[in-house]
Amino acid sequence: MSHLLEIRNLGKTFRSRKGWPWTPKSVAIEPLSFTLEAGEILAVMGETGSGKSTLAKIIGGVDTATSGEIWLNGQRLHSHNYSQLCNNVRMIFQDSENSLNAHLTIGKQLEEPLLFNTELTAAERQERVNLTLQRVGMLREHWEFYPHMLSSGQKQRVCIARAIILEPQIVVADEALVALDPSVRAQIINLMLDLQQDMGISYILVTHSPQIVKHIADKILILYRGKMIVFDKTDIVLEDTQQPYVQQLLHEHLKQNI
Amino acid sequence: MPHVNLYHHDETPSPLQLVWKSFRARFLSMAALYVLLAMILVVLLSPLLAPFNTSTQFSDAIALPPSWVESGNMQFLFGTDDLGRDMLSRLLIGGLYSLGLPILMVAVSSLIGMSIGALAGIDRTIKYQSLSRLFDTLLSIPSFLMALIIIAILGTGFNNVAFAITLSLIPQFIFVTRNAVHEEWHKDYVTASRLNGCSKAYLLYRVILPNVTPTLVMQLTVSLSVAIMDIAALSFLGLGIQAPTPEWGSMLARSLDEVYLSPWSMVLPGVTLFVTIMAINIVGDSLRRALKERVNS
Repeated sequence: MSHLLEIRNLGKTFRSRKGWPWTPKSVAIEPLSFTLEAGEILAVMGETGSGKSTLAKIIGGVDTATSGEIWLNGQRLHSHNYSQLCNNVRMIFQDSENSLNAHLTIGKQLEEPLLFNTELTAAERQERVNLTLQRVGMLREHWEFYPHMLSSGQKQRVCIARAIILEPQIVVADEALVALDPSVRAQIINLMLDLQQDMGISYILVTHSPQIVKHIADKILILYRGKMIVFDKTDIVLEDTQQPYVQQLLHEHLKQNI
Repeated sequence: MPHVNLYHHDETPSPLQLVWKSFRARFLSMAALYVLLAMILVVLLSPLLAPFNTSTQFSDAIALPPSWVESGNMQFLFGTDDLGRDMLSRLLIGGLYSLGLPILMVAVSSLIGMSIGALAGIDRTIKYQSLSRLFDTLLSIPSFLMALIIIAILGTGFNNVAFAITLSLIPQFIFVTRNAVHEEWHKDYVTASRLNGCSKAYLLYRVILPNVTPTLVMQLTVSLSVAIMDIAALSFLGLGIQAPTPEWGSMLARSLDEVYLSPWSMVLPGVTLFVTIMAINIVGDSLRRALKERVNS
């Protein structure tokens, strides 16, 4: 049986701009492997610079890996094969402010993926965009709006709408919740959970927040300086944390409360 | 039954419309824009408007002052020059070469420069990079000097001047477009569109172009005033449009000899040139100001 997403020996190295051809490349991610099943939520954690954003970007298709393979439903995923990618894997960016085009209306931007990946007519596209907008708790009137007329929470919703409009199997969210205030964050998390139940989406969440991880994640992947040191079910990781680094990541907020 | 709009409908101005709105709110910028548009209109219609042929010499009206001076003649509104040619006709037709030609040259050079610049901004392959870097080295030479060099090689004449100035304007367009496009290319919204599976043409025209339009329009106004100055300066030096053809720069040069006898033959083309360039610069400047206001708000 094939997994929904299978990462095999995925690694990323890059050369700094000032480097000479013979200077050793710096390693962002050491080769790692893991699998993700349908409907699961995987949380990727790690300190700053541990390579978790790079991992999200590679899975989301923004970056290409230097080694290793990504398999999706038993099919190899080729980088830069955007049509294969965006029907299955979608990405939500960290900064919703900059990931929306300031000069296009929300409707036009949501129409974009449909335009290039489906055969729908203009009326069908509009219907689909309206439905998706309502699904993320916005109105069909928002079609006419430009990004600068929306609040940051609404922008985040639009980004989620853009991610789910093609009904993908996996959504990669790269610290998508950091910039939001707690109440909006809770709303968005509930929205994401609702969508997961409705559509059976798997999430890969890159996050700093242990609360969110404990609340929604099925599995946890912890990176330390580009190395995968933990990958297991959430309850197992939470009960069995000997490593101080993992403990620090997962329980830091408890110490602050005392 | 007349159509009645019962419901309040909120306008949703796009960012470009917002820039236009703040541009429009300022009196000076709108005045400059209207002056510029009027100039262009008059220049385009000049063959119809000009009362006389530009080379017809009226031997009974040599160096006649403008009509508002007591010794002037209503028949020649702006007077005549030292050969008895009607100043008004010469100024009007001269506008074709002094304003119409620069607009054409800027159009051609912007088309070439922007396409190369856009390709170089998107495509980081060696082919476009080397091409745009080659033009970048030309930026070290002032555009007027470069036009002079090209004329020195090709010789004077209408075609050569037009060619030289067009060519000398291209590097600036490439530089500005490449930097603007390249800067946008790495922003998240372009990445998001790329992940939507958009084609490169769609990315360039629909996604990036609206975001760099203000920068490009600003560069257009700068280049237009440079082109007007260049062609006037070249003609003033006798390297540009040649003598019998009326051109504001060459009219200025010709009037040097008789500036004490007939000052209007120097003042009129000078003022026209001044007003044109002033209007263009104010439009460009106001555009920059309007953009800044939108970014700040």
